[in-house]
Amino acid sequence: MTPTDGLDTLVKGFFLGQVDQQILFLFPELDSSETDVVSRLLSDWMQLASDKIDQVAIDRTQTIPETVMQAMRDMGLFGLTIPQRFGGLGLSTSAYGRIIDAVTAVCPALMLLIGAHLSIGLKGLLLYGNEEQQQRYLPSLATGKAIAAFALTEPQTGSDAHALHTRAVHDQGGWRMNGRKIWISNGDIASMITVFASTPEVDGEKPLTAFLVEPGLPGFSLGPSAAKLGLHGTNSVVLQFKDMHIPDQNVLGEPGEGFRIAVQVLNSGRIGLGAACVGAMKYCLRLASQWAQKRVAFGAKIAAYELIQDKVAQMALDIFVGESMVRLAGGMVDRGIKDYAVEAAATKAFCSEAMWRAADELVQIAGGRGYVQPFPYERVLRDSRINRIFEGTNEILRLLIFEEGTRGLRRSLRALSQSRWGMLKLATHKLQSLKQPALTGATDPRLADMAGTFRTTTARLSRDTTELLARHRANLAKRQLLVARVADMAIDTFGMAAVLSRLQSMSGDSENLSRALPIGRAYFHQAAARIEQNREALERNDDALRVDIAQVIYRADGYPL
Amino acid sequence: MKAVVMIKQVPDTNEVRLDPRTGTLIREGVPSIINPEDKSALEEALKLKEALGAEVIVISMGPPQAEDALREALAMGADEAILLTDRAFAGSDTWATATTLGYALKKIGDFDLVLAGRQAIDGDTAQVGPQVAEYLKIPQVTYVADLTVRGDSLCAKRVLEDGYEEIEAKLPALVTIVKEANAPRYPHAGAIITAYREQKVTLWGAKDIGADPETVGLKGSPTQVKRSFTPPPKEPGQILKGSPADAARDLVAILRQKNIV
Repeated sequence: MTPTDGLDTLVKGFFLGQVDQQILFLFPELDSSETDVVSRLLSDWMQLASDKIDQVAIDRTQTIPETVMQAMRDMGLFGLTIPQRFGGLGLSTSAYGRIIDAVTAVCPALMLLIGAHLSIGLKGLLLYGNEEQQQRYLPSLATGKAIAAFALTEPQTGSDAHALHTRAVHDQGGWRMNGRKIWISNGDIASMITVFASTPEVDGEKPLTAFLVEPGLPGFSLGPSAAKLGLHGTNSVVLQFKDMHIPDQNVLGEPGEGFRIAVQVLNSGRIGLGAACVGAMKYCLRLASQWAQKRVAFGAKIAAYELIQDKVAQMALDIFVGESMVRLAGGMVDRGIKDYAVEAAATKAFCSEAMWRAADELVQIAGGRGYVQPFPYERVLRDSRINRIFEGTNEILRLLIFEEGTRGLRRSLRALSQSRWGMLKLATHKLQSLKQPALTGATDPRLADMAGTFRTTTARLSRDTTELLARHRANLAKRQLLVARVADMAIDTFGMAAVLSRLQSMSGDSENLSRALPIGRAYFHQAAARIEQNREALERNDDALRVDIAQVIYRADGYPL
Repeated sequence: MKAVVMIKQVPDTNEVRLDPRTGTLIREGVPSIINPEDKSALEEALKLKEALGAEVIVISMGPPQAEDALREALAMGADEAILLTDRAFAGSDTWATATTLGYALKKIGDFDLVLAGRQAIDGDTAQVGPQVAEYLKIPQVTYVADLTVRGDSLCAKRVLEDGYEEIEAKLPALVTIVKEANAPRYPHAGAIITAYREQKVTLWGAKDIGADPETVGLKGSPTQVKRSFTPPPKEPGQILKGSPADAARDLVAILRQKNIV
């Protein structure tokens, strides 16, 4: 039996050896009514940036000047994704991604300001708020008169959101909240904060509830702001709630629905963060190319040396793949596909790691200048490190990619093993999974080799994961190194899919395609090699040794020799 | 009052790069923008709109893609946009361009003020504005850095090489604006959306403005481009070292050698 039920999602299908060509081969271009608007907005933004925004000063003074805030308000940047009926612009996720990309390329701190506001701060209100709540808050949020923030993280709770210590209990027609949140971006300037608290009185297992909190009300206080490595200019602050009264009408969604809301908000936020990393990488590449063509060493510009060419080429590869992932995942959201959690996680993980690689190599290309101010390079490195940590650490995201991504596969394997003739059917299933998914959508002959590689890769991802699940069963979740390898294979498979889909969409534009093809080919080469390495390590690895070494270290509380 | 702003779409010279092999401009992929000083002229008009309730019409002559520049002007706050576009206008020099714009302005008729940028960054002629004023037989005030309108006259501060000049002129008149006059506004993204989705750009061809075919386009152009070329790069200068007396002696020797003195 080859599972055939439409999954309406991509990576989950890859694990089943299936490719939803409906999604894959309609590479999302911007809606024609958005294209002009977005390109005009982008060119105005670049003009504004060169006139008014000094990212060096923002980093040094750790403040975003009011003139910049006002200029951003005047341009309408705080309402990009808020529907037009609330005074926003109602842009799609795809359009938002392109703008966030350009904002980050100018100044990552401004990205955090807008991202914390739109991507996560008010996203819950957009997705789950009722009409009255949206009427109450969205108009002022759309103009930037009011700013939003998102408060989930606590001193003892990061990615394991189930274990929140902030509590809210029923109290006089509302709720009484006590607790602390930390590192809340925009927390110091926000006038509407989406706060998640544990609500033990509500039915359910560890029920969380989302509240729309107005910081002006009694019981709320601001704690200190963190001294951050990078992204200076926006503050990440402590929020304290002491017997804060929150009226019933400020519950977002239903009581007990908080975890689902947090997950949904973070899922969609990850695509925006991917776009931000792509923008930052473009900035890196521009600086790298400029410096390499200026710096002379041993009688030639360093741009002429292969060791430098390799670095800038890798940046271009990473940008192209990351951007393709952002667009494909963003397009899924815009098409109303609900299940994009795995694609969003893969996008965030890939883009944030690529961003770090780019920043690191930029510093390397710049040499000693890379390490000191006032050159721009060290700041890029500082600004980019957080991306691998926030909105879900990349480690957690790998577990999520596996857990969520293989859900369909595990279900179908369970069904097989429980049925009569289970073992026989399982064997047949394995045999059938040797078949590669058909790929009729990749019609351009110039893409034939890549389409072939992608088909083989998808079939292998499915087969290897099936075997791994059969061998380790329930214990697999504990073998995190194996799980992460499978997740890495899935990330690269998604990367291949996104690149293939985008190249196919460029089929009619030979000039562009001829520029993109070498980039696509180089990535396929690299990804295929990485996937092979991961596959091999599923069989032969030193995981057990490493686990033992860690135990010895923990007992010695440090280096054991 | 009614103010008409003449704008031109030009390649963004900040984005123009040189081909290292041929030394010529790479025009491919260079974004088009509203000529910066035309944008300043538009900003002056929009200020009059805010202060006096002036109606602002933008007009441009160019290929169909110049519509994008007019949409930008609408997004900034212009009330109406007109694009003069017709194969018959192709090959116009500044004279024929001014004539064409003149036809259109006569068709609009009841304007009080015509504004334009001092000059365009692609041609740098600074001719079209004054020629339009001549064609319309209205007063012209060029190089304006500050503009006020009172009743039926304007007061303008002109930038000269060594100072300023204040001039009063009766309306209707034509002014050309310099960059120093203002910092043009950035349109709100909402206005951009409205400009692209809801507002329209009126297209006028040669027939619409009643143009005599002999007076526009290549036929109406008394000047013609004979050849375009990139001037050879300037040779590097020479620095004379040594004491001032030695350097002076060397300098005189060189000047003699070149038969300059």
